[in-house]
Amino acid sequence: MNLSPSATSQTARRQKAPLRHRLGPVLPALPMLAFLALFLVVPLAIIGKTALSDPEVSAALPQALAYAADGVPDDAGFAALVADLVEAKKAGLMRPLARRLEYGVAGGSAAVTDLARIADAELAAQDPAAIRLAVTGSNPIWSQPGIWQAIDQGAAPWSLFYLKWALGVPVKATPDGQPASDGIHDFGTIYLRTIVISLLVTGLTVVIGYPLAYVVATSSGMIGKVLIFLVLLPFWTSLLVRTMSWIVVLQKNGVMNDLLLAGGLTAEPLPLLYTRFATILAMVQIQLPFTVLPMISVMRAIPPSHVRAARSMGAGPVSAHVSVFMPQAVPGIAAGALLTFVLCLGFYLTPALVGGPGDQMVSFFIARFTNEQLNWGLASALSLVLIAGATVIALPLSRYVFRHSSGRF
Amino acid sequence: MLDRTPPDDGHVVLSSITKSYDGSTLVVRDLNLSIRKGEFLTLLGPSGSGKTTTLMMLAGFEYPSTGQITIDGAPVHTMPPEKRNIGMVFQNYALFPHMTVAENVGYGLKVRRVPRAEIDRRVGAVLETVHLSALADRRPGQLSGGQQQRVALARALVFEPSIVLMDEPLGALDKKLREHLQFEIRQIAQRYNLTVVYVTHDQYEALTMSDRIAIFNDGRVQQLGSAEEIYARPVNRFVAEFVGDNNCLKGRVTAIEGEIAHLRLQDGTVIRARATGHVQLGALSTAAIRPEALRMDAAPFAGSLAATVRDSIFCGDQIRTVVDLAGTESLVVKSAAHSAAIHPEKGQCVHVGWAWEDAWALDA
Ligand SMILES: Nc1ncnc2c1ncn2[C@@H]1O[C@H](COP(=O)(O)OP(=O)(O)OP(=O)(O)O)[C@@H](O)[C@H]1O
Ligand SMILES: [Mg+2]
Repeated sequence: MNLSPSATSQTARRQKAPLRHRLGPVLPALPMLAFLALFLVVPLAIIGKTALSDPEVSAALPQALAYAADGVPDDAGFAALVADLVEAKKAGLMRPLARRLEYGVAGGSAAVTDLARIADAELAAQDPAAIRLAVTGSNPIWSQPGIWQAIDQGAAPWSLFYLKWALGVPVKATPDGQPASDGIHDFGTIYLRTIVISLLVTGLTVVIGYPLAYVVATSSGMIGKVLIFLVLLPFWTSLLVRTMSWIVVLQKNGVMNDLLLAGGLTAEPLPLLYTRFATILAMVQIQLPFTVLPMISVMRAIPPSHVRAARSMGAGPVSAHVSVFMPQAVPGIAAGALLTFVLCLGFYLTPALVGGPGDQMVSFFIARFTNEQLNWGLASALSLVLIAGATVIALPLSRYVFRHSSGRF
Repeated sequence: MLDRTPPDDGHVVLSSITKSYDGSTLVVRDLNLSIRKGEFLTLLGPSGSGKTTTLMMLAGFEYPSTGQITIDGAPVHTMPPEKRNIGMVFQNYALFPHMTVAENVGYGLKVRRVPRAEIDRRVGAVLETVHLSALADRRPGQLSGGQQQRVALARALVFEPSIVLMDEPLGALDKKLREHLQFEIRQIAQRYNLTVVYVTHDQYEALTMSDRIAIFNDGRVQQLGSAEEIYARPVNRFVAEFVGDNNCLKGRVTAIEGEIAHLRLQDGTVIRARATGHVQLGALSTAAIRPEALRMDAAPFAGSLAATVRDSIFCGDQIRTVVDLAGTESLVVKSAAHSAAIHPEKGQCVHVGWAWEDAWALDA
């Protein structure tokens, strides 16, 4: 790059400024930075660590690991397995191991518990061929390649196992080593559903919010004030209350069905609650202010003389709006849409309360794996993928918004 | 200045226009204005006098509460702006920040569905006129104030409207640039034979550019006439005080002799002035005298008043002297700096006077 002399000397001078001076402007933001570090960066790091750590197998079966690489091992492998299990039992590593192997192979948990029942010092002392017989006798799965593959999968204390699982890669096998088709959750579909619902909600809030924002931004009188009040009103009640009120409205003998029945639009109550329709309706209502507020602030900054100028040059009201007003409102639309889209990706409560089983989004499964199934590795991996996805989508858009909001003259 | 005013052909006629935004206060009252084809008419008046409102009604952004507007005899006051074919230059230019200079200028042609090649040709030609050909691909944000102003002008001209409205188009520019652009606008208006309605705060701009000036105050046209008429023959005290400098002396009319009114000032001095329609025997009246019409001398002369010099300011080509009369009144006298007239000292006693024709006895 060809720097002009003044530019080079300026950079040079800036580099010479003492650290103290360069940090000066940042000082007021320190509490916020500390807060961010403590409550955003640290949890993120923990989530990342949890998603990648896979310690159960390597901790419980240090010797058997060496034999698991090529499917069902020879007798020595079985002897190592029993020796490991005897130690693991003492150290209390059985339960985590059983759970982890079940993730990798159908029946893995039962195989471990069955084996644990017979594995003791006495068995370990026998010769390998006898051990093998005893082990395969406890549970026939041990004579099939599936479980050994699962052990090999967990050979390292760090792995991409949970991330692959979260990305929808089939990680579970049948006992004979084939990919298990009864995958509990198709996370690819769930992510897709999350994105589709978020996009739909974003699109709807933009379509509903744009005229609203326009009226609020351009009317000077009472109408604008009342409308902005109505837009902000939902902020005064909690998310839970607003979602619950949708249950009241949409349930079988709720307000909506009463109206439909009274209007003769339907003969019997429609199943409105616990549907995709209810989920999207409630989410749109909750997200509308987030979409509308950035639009309003950008639209307010567009001088009314611009549209007038377009009209004076011969453009009709619609044409003037589309060619002059709307392009200048785009940064606001993008900011509002981005905010809503990113917030929607993380929606949990609303789909859980008013949606059906087929309407649950990623967050629902994160909560479920965290609280019910105690599969923190998968929950963390799901979160990580969600965060990464949101970042990939949001970053270019937010850069666009940033560039255009500061680029106006 | 020559009288360039074309004959009254009723090109644009505003008749009995009133306008109220809130339904109670009249912002424009009983406005009657006949604008001639090809004339440069300036609306001049203090802030809030209704100039912009009048322009907005002409352009179609506001509708008159009562009255009607016709262009070439056809009523237009209910027509939307895009149908009126009137060019407009806004005070803050209102350039579209997301379009280049060429796109801004071509906008009026594009919405009229003029073919692409034709647009390019006409935009090129009009940018040539305003000396902006080199900047066609810039965005408005990358232009200086004067350049932005030219883009706004080009944009209002490109679709060849016969009427162009300008609302304080030079208000945001410095004096030098303003004078330069005044000249350019004037030239372009003549070249394209435009009918221009121009709003300004700046009376010198109004005096130098206009064929006719309409002085606005309080929603009414106070006086309509050429710059000379308005300057030399103000019809009321507002116009006298608003346009240029004027000395105003208030007194009671004690006698009217033909064209000459006698006014007795507060301190009993009687002065003579040209009687206008406002003058009534026994009523109060204000005599307006231009500073340059006053004569000042060390010795008394016919009709002169004794005065004391309060201050004397040298302004390069002229000297402005403030003198106190016997009563509470004071006058400003303008004299050429190089003239043989006296250069008074502070506190000196002088005599000032004027020819009665130069003083206008107006409303109180
Ligand atoms: N949209 C509006 N709503 C209500 N009142 C208005 C509106 N526009 C102007 N007014 C009022 O009408 C009066 C005349 O305004 P106008 O803009 O015509 O004045 P102006 O002569 O152009 O003044 P300036 O020289 O300051 O631009 C003012 O008292 C103003 O407050
Ligand atoms: Mg104005």
